Amino acid sequence: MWKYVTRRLLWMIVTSISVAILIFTVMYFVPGDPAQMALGTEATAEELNAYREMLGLNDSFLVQLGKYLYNTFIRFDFGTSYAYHTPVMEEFASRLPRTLALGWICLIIDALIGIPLGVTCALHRNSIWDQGFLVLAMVGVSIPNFWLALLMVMLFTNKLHLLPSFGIGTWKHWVMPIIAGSLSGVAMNARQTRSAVLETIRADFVTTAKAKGVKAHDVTYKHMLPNALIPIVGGIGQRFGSAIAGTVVIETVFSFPGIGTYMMNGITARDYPVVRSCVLVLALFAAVATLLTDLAYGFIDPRIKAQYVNYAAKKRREDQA
Amino acid sequence: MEQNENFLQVRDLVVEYTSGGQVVHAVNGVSLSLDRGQTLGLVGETGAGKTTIAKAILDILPNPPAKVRSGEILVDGQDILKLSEHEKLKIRGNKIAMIFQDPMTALNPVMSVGEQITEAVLLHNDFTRTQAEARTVEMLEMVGIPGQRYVEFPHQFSGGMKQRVVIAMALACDPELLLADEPTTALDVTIQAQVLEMINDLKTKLNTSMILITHDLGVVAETCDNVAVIYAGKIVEFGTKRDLFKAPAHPYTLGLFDSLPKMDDDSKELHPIPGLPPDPTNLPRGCSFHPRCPRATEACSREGEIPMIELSPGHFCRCIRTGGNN
Repeated sequence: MWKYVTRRLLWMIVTSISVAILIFTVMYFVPGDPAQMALGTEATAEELNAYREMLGLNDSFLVQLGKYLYNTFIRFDFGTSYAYHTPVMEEFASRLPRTLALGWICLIIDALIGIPLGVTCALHRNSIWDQGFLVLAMVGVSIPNFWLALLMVMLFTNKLHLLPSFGIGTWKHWVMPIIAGSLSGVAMNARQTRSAVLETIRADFVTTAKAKGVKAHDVTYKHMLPNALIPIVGGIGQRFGSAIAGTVVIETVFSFPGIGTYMMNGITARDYPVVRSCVLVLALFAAVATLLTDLAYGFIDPRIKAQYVNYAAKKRREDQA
Repeated sequence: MEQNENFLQVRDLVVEYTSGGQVVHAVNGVSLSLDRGQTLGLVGETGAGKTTIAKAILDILPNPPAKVRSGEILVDGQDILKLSEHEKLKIRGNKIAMIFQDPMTALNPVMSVGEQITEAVLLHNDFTRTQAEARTVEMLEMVGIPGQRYVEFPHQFSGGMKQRVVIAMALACDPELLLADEPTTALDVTIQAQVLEMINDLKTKLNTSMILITHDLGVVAETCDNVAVIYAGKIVEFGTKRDLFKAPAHPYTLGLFDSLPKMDDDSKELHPIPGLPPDPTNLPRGCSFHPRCPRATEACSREGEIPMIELSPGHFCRCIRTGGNN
């Protein structure tokens, strides 16, 4: 098992370096001049050139790439933002926790509301509640979150003056971003759970559990749900990875000072270090999320765990041979 | 059939399924009784309603679509169908336990086998967890599985071993009635005998009554005291094993025996019962078997219930053509 995890972690390093090279190359060839952006249209050619020289942008592609990789992966220095003039690492230290908190609170709410809702619908399938909920879930999935965010701002900020529409500071600042960020997730979790539970509802082992005298509630949550979890966890895992990426839109709407706004501003300002670091961190989180999801599968289903273990054992045998 | 000291009595049980707007008549007025320590065989074709009867006794039919329309199921004189859900939970797995047909799917794939048995033990006994686990190990060893396999999962067991686990689970709380739904059908012939023998031994040891559902007359001959032959959700013949094997009376029972291969018969052909079991949404009038019956007359398809006729004490047959001339 540990062999498997170690292998996956090593692969993650390879993935990160590839992502770093790719994003560096893309940003290198994307039109737009950071110097022009920073100094404005009034700047003379000499000024621009001096600025570029200072940032090391006049070096050849390979030299720049080499420096970038060395700084990022050996010195763990993400560089200094062209626009903010602060080290990217410093900004991350304050922004990343906020973004992660926002993303993961949404994720937890998705699971805590979505899964029981889905189970309830599955148990009362085809009832009026179930049908009504399915329609609502469809609406929930289809509503774009920025639109919902704007509607909420109109209602809670402009009309009722209950919640602030931007910034951060009190718990009130978090309410609307969290609602806007979790609605579609709740709906998706609920739909996924509903169909996954419906698949186990007729399973023989459920009848066995009932025949043992297990309470209906325990039959559902101890026997049916664990067997239905794989697709649900898969969905959550995907959103776990994109928790930071997924909040970009919401952060922008609410001017929430997280990674999302940082990246958006970085892209408009051609702030290479910021964009590169954000993308790299996104990729890392996606990779970690995938690994955690796979490990969660093994934890949920012993048959999958057996595959990991067998895989490691087989590998060992091959290595010895 | 009307003795009151009987441990289990089923009276006029009617179970229907609703499927796609149509009503499936799965069980149509079944009455049977069972003494303590005895084994009753339920024999019949696939879809005759055998499993439905067993599940109705535990009241674990999926509802909807299944529904017990009428009838009584008395265990020790207590009508199970009238109990509260809470009281039913205490009976299921405790007083009445069931062994399911397909061991491959009857166990929860993500729970260790030991845990699945312990769950039942804990539900019905005032045991601590340690005591319950000890009991589970004891049960596993009783069915011939080493106790250290407690922590293993169903996918690590073969089909025969899984069926042993299912049996251990059913017997873990010393049930007074065991419902065995084709316990050997999914198993290899070599394992079948072992499993049957094991069930028989355990049953004798614990003085458990059993309803054995099967379509295998060989299994009936080995294990049962009484036999009920089911056709289209009705008992068409009931008697002791001796009655049934020595003097089968109902044309359907005769057909079942005829369809077995015979060692002393040189002809290479089997003699199956012609036709198919009737459509349970639209049962034939009169005797449900008359469209396939070689002895059917016009009277057989007349509207109305065919009565049970007592041919000899304890041997009943639901056929208007027997009785007099048999």
